[in-house]
Amino acid sequence: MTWLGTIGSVTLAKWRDVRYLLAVAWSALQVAARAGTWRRTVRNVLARQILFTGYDATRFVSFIAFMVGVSIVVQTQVWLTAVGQGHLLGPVLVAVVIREVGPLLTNFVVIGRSGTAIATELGNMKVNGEVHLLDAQGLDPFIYLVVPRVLGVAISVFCLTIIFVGVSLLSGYLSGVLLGATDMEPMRFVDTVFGALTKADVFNLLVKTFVPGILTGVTCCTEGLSVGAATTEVPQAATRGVVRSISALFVTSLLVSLVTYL
Amino acid sequence: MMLQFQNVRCAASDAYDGGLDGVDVALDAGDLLLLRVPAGHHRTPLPDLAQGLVNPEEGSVTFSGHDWRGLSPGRAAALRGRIGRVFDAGGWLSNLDVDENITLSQRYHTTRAEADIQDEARRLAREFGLADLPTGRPHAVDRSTLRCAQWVRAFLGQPALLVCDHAAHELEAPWTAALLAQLRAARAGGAAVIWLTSNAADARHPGLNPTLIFELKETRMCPWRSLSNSGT
Repeated sequence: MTWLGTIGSVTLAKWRDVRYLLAVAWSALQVAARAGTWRRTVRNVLARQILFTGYDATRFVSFIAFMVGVSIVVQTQVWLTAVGQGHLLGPVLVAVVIREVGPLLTNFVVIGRSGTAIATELGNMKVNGEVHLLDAQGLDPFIYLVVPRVLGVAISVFCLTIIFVGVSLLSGYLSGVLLGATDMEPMRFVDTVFGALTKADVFNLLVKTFVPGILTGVTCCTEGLSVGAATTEVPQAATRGVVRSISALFVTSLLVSLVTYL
Repeated sequence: MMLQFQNVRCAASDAYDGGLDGVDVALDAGDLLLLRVPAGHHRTPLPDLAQGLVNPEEGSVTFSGHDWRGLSPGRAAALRGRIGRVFDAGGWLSNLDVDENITLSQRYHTTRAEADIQDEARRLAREFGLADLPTGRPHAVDRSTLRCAQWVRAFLGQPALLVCDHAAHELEAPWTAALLAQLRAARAGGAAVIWLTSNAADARHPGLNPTLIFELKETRMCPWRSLSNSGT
């Protein structure tokens, strides 16, 4: 095969992967939209997923957000004041923290923490015959395993991003005051930041949290369920899940930023 | 007819110890099909075929008048909810407690009250010699308790079909009488039973009283001649 043919076949293989991923994501959303899907057992799985991916990650996300707040928000305050552009504080913080850093870092935390766990858990279930067991009891593995995990991850990413944004802005403001970088009144700081928010920013935040969340859930579920009979396939599936989720995250973030702001 | 295999052929695969060929068996309500399989032959496709989990290469399997192949995934899943199964190995979701495992199918397929399901499960557990529903993750529960718990799960909700995979050694357990009593009651209530065993003594057990007795030879299910000769 010529080098051109190799590039073509690799590109087509990647395109097939993307189409498969999007098809599973669309099916998951369609199934999730049916009321009959949400039987009590499926609701339990959703609640457990939100508890693990969302609630249990709150402290870690808050810690990262605190660090980001201290380093980015304070620097922004210092440099904008130094160049006499203090009035740009709100728009700059919205652009940096709310549009880009918040969703990106939160997605990273969720992929690293829950994406690997989902792929590993489902991979082990497949190896141990537990997926077959669900089928034998008449529980559709797609409805019982995939749909609540996908939705749970997406909801958790959104909620964690809101927490991230809140903690980073708060810690940034407080450390700015403590370090003498700003003497702005608290309510004025809040007004400056939220006054700079536009509808496009809200749309951007929603899409950059829900879409990568859904794709992370779908990617890690499908990778986990693609495991055959060997336990050695499980870590490989987890690694593939993480790599593909991160790729999907960056592509989604880039596309959304281009569509929203250019 | 509750369950009918019509000229079924299922090829051997990695999932099974061997295939099946020319299976032509019909089970009515209350019937018990005993299939003796060679010792060490623990993975036959018959239970999965009966539940419509695998499609035969040839022939058809119908349950409650429905050919599994013609059913939508949702309808097939709902019908599987009426089948109780005892697994030879494994059979537990490791991320749920044993009591959650036991009630999972009923909680998924029915709208029965939680308390109602729990009460029936507790009653069955006591009849099988357990003090209460076992709690804790399956890996932390001893094997004999898990065996009893499998029976509780299989009988919960009055199934239309019971698939008992390699339960021969269980007949020697202290709760044999309770198990056989439950089996009799289920059959009297209209349930059909598939009983897979490697133990020849099962076919002669007075409490089991099989309607059909077969022996697996290679890929064929043949009438069990030794029993026919002994007049059983």
